[in-house]
Amino acid sequence: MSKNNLATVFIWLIALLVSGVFFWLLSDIIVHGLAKLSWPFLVENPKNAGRSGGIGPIIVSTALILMVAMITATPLGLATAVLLSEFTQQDRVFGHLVRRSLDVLAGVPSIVFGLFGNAFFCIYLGLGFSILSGGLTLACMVLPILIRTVEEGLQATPNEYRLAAAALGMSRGAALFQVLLPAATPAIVAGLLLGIGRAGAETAALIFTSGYVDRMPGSLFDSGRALSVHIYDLSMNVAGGDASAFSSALVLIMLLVIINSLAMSLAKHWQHKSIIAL
Amino acid sequence: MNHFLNSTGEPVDKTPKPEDAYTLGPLQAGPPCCVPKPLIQVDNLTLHYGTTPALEAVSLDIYNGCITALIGPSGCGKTSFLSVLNRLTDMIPGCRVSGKVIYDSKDLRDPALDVQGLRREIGMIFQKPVPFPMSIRRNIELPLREHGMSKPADLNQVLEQVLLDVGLWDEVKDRLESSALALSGGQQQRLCIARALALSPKVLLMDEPCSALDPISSGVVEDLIQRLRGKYTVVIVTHNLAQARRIANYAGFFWIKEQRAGCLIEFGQCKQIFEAPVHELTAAYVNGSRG
Amino acid sequence: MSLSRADRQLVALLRGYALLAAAIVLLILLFLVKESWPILQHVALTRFITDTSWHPVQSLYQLTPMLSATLYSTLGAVLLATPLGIGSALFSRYYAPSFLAMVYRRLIELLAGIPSVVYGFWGLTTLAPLIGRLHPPGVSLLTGILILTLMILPTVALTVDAALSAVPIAYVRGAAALGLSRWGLISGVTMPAARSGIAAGILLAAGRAIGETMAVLMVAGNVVEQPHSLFDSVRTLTANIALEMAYATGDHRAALFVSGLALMSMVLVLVGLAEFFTKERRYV
Repeated sequence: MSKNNLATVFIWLIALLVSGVFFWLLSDIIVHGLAKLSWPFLVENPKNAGRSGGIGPIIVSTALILMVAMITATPLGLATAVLLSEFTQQDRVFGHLVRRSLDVLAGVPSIVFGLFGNAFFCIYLGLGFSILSGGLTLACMVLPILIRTVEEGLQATPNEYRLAAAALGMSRGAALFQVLLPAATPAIVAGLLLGIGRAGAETAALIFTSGYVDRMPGSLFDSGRALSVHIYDLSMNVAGGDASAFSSALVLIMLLVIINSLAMSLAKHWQHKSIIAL
Repeated sequence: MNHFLNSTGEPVDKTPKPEDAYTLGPLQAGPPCCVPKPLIQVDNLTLHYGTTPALEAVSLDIYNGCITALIGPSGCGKTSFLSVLNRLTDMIPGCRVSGKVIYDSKDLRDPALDVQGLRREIGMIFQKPVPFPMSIRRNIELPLREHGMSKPADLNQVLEQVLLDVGLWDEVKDRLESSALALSGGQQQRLCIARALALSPKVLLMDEPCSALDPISSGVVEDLIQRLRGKYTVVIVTHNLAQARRIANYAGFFWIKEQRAGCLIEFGQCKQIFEAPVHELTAAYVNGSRG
Repeated sequence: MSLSRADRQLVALLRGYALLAAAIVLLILLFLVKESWPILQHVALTRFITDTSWHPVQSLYQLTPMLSATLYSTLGAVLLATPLGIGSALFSRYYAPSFLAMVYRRLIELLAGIPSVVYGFWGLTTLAPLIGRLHPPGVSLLTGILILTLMILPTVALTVDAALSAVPIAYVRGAAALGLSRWGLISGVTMPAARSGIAAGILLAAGRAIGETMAVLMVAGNVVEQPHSLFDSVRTLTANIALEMAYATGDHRAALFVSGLALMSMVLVLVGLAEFFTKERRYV
C-alpha cells in the first residue's frame, strides 16, 4: 500500500478509535445516569450520605459558588481587558507586566489554587470553609480566560469606529461605553459563559475552600458542596454511591454542554458579525 | 441659523418635491467666496511615523467657505495631512508632527487645546462609510448627546434638519429606529456626513468620500459636497481629477520625494492648477502622463 | 497623547483594577512560600529527594515516588495523546467529509469541557475493572495514563487544528499544483509549516497532564511506591496534596505546600516553553 493510502487508513482508524472511546464514555454516563434522573432527584436533599435522595442543596451550593465567582471576576476582568485592549499605548511596560502575570495565572494547576484558596481565603482572611472562599478562589481561576475572550472581542471591533468616534469629538470613555463595548457584547457574554463552564467543572480547587457539607446552605459563609465535589465524594468515599454519582455526573455534563454550546455559538456569531458589518 | 432663506434674505419653500427624489434637500448655497480669508494656515508641516517620514515641509492656506481639493497619487501623505488638521494624529502611536498650524487664530498643535471641542468644529468624513452599529437615530443623536444636548425636542429638530440637508430624510424617515448598517453604501456615507453636520462644524475634512461608492451614489454625494460650499469650509482628498476640477475652488498637488516622504508641489486656484500649472510635474499629472 | 480629564480618570481606574488582577499571581506565590517556610527552615530541599520514604509522621519527606508517578503518567499520556490528537486534527481538517468533520470537531469541543472528576469517575467504574481483569489491581499507572490521554487529547487536537488553520493557503495550493498526494502535502508542507503551533499544543497538554488532580487520584491507586511496572498503583504529586491536605498539620502541611511549589514551577516551565513557540496565548 502506498504511503498515502496507509496514512489515510491510519487517520480514519484514529478517528474511529477516539470517537469510539468517547461515545463509550458518554453512553455509559447517559445510560447509568438516566436511571435515577428525575425531578425529585433534582430538588430533594441527599439521604443516607447521598446514596438515595437527591441533589437539591448541592445544585443550590454550586449555583451560589458560581455566582460569587462571576460577580467577583467580571468587573475585574472587564476592566483589565479594556485596559489591555484600548489603553496600552500609554504605558507599554505596565500592560506587558499585566499580560505576563495573567499568562502565569492561567498555567497554575487547580490543586495549587486549592492550596492558595485554603491558605488565603479560609485561613488568612478567616472565611473558613465557605461558599465565599470557594467562589473567590474560582474567580481567580477564571480571570485569565475571561480577560482573554473580552480582549479578543474588543480587538475585533473595527478600528474605524474608534477613529470615527474621535473625529466626532467623543472622549475615549464615551466611545468605549457607547460604541465599542456594545459592539463587543457577544464576545463578552461568550467569555462569561466560558468562565462559568470552566468554574463549574472544577473540583480540586473547591475541596479545601468550600468544603463538603451537603446541607442546604443558609448563607454565603456556610460551607457548601459543589456538584463536582459530590460526584467525587460519592465515588470515592461512599460505598454504593455510584448510582447517584452517575446521575449527578449526567446533570453536570448536561449543564456544562448547554453553557459551552451557548458560548461557542455566541463566539461564532460575533466573529461573523464583525466581518460582514461595514 | 436659518436654512430656509435665499441669498437676498427672503424665505424660500425648500420642502422636497416628489420629482426631487434623487436630488438634495434645502441647503443654502451661501454667498460666493470672492475675497476669502484663510481659515487654516499651515506652515512647514512635517510628519513622521516613527522614523519614517510621511510629509515634508508642507505649507498652504485653507480658505474660508471654499472647497480645497488635495490631489496626487497614493502614498503622498494627503490623508496624513488631513489627520493633522483635526488632531487625529494624536491617536496614531509613534506619530510625530512638527511645524505650525493656525486655525482661526489659535495654535492647533497646542497640547493644552481642547481637542474634543476642536473636533466639533472640524469634522471628518472617512473613505469607507463608518456608521455605528446602531439605529439611524442613535447614530446622529450620540455625538449630540456627548456634546451636551439632551432635550428630545432639540435632538429631533437637528436630526430632521441634517437628514433633510443630505437628502436622506425621505428615504429613512419611516425607519429611523432601524439599523444604520442596513443602508446602502451611498446612504451610509450621507448618514456620516449628516452626523458630522449635526455638530454644526466650521470645517469638513473629507478623505476620498466617494471612492468606496458606486457611480450613482458617488454623484449624489458629490452634489451634496458642492452645496456645502459657502456655509462650510471643505478640504477634500480625491483621486478623481475630474471631480476635483468640477467642485474645487482651490487645489493642492502632492507628490512623493525620493525618500518616500510626501510634499506639496503646487497650490493655487483650481482653474490655474488645471489649466496653467506652473510646475512641470503638476502639468504631467493633470494631463495624465504621470502618476 | 491627549486624553481629556474624564479619560485620564477612567485610565487611572482601569489601571487600579488591572493591578489587582496582576497581583493575584504574586499573592499565590507569596502564600505558597509563606506556608512552605516553616519546613524549609530546618529541612534542606535535597531531603525531598534523598529521604528514604514519604512518612511525614516520622519526618521523612521523600517526594521521589510521587514525582516519578507524575512524570511517568504525563509522559505516557503525552506519547499517546500526541498522535491521536494530531490525527484527530488532520482527520477533521483534511480527511473527513464536511458534515462528519463538523460532528467530529463538535465532539472534541464537547469533550474538552467534561470535568476531570467525570473522567475519573468513569475510569474508576468502567476502565479500572477492565484493566483489573487483565492484571490486578485495576487502579494503576496504566489506567492513569489512559484517562489522562483522554483528557489531554482535546487540548492537542484543538491547538493543532488552530495551528493548521494558520498555515497560509498559498503554501497548500502551491504544493498541490506540484502534484503532491494528500499525505505528501500534509507531511511535507502543512505540518512542518505548523510545527511551532503543534509543539506549543503538545507542551500545553503536558502542562495540563502534570497539573491534573482528580482524575488520576481516582484511578491510579494512590499507593506511595516507586512504580516498577505499568500495573503498579501509584500516587501523583497532585493526588498526594489532595488526599493529605485534609488532615495534614505543621511540617506535614508545609511539605505539601513545598510539593505545590514544585508542581507550579514544572507547569510554568512548560507553559513558558509553549509560549516561546507561539506568540498566541491560549488558555484551554
